[in-house]
Amino acid sequence: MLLKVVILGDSGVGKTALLNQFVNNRFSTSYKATIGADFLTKEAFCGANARSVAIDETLVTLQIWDTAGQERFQSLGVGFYRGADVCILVYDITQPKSFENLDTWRIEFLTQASPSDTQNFPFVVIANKLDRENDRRVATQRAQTWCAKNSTSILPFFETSAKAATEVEAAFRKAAQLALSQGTMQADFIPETISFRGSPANGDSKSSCC
Amino acid sequence: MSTKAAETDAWGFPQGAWHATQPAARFQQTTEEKDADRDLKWARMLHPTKGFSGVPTAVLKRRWRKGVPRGWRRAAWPELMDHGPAEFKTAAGLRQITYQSLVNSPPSSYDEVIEKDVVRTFPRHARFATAVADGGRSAGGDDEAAAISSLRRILRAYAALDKECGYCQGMNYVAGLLLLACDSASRSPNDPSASSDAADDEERCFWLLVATARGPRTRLRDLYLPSMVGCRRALYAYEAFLRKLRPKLAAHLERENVQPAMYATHWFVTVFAAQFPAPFAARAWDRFLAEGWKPVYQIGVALLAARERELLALDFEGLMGALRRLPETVDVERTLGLALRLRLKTSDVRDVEKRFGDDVKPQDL
Ligand SMILES: Nc1nc2c(ncn2[C@@H]2O[C@H](COP(=O)(O)OP(=O)(O)OP(=O)(O)O)[C@@H](O)[C@H]2O)c(=O)[nH]1
Ligand SMILES: [Mg+2]
Repeated sequence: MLLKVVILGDSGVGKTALLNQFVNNRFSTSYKATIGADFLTKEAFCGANARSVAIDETLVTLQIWDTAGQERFQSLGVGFYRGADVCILVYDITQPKSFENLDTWRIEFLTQASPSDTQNFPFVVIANKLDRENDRRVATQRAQTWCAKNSTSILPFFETSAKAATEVEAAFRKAAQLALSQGTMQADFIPETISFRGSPANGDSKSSCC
Repeated sequence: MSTKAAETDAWGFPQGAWHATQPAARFQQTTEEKDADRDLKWARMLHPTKGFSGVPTAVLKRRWRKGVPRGWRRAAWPELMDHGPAEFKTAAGLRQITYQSLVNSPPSSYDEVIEKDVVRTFPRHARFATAVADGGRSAGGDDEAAAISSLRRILRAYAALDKECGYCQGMNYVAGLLLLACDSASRSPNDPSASSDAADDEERCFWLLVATARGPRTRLRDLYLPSMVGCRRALYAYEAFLRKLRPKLAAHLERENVQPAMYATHWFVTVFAAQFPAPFAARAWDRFLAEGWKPVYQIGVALLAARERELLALDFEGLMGALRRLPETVDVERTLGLALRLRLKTSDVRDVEKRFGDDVKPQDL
């Protein structure tokens, strides 16, 4: 089962670092600014509902699109937003402006991706660079209020550190879960592609993320 | 110092995955003797004050297409351009503007993103390495790598000079490549031009950036404008030429829904400077500065054409993976050689770029 994930947010909030932590379990001190787009995949076992046990788990391939944070790159016609199953919005807890721009990113995504159900399209919000707590300039409460305001149900919110690997896995797991239930609801769930976990997942591109 | 030299390549980049993928035979071909020979040829061809005057175009063209020797780029790049830095420095409207005054202009809204990018430009290169890896503000202090300070000043100065364009992500790699390619430390011992210090080098790079951004042949500014119209034009033209030159491959990519914007944006915005190894990028720039966009499209198509059989067998995910690994797996000589053999005329480029103008609705521009 293929799930398409798009990750958005201002330049420098740590999108590439988060992806690298999630996909390769690494944080590097030498990230390059992303120009245009980047694409990564990761296989994971995932349950469509939170209480699922191993037997419900589906092997999913997450197709993750990383994008450039500078606004003008949006004008390149971001065709790859289309067909997304979930969108992850990222801000940096030390940069209030990156938080304030979440609205713009959310609207931009909905406009470009034009999902069938705009109201219920799943988003996950990530507050990154938690290891820099001392420089924090966006209160958790403020972000939670934003999440509540922008969703009919609960908009999942995670405070992460790509550097310290805090909550990164959990945030992506949640995103995958939402995408999966979204996919199920849209009835394009193809049973043949489900693989039950028969043996322990191993190999570095597979992880038991749920 | 000696251990450091052993671990980095001629450009100062650490030996990495890319070096491992280069066919050993190709490296042996470029023997020291041959390099010395080419160095002398360029010394004879490039006059310190008269530039390339008197050199038959056919000879010059053949030589820049083989690649300007590492030690001659500093002198040759401005001379290869149709509108070099000298023209821009003295152009009406720019004549009274000094680099220093631009550097000292008041802070702009672009400073923030420039600051984020200067510490994320060739971070594995010693001259650009930074202790600040946590996305915090780079101090700009004494311990900061010198090239980072140069880069910051160059990018800020450009944004101050060209307010409509400002700063576009990607310009950092272009300015970074210029700094590495044109520094006086790596210049040929046969280059008679007066030696200069880092401040001179920096200013030269700035005017070179201005000239490539605004020159009618290179037009990089079109790509950097807020609408990025030049980038869309480049992606459009590249796709058209891929279809024309490698129809089977183009059809396969289209069937698999792989669009140029998904993998090639950085190729054009930085003219291969962002991800590709410096020796490859610099060779592409030798042709870009002298010939404009045609070789850029040829090289773009060649990057795929060199791997056609492999790519034809891949599905969407496989394709995206292979395309994203192109920079670290590129076979420099093979790709550049193939690019030269791909038949493309300057008029083809003109026609396709015109078609882009006709196809695109005015509100999209
Ligand atoms: N301290 C700390 N630094 C981080 C963290 N995540 C990323 N960074 C740093 O923040 C900077 C920007 O990270 P990137 O991942 O390149 O940011 P991005 O969102 O991909 O930026 P663009 O590609 O320009 O859109 C880098 O220098 C990272 O090392 C984190 O969790 N903690
Ligand atoms: Mg990035």
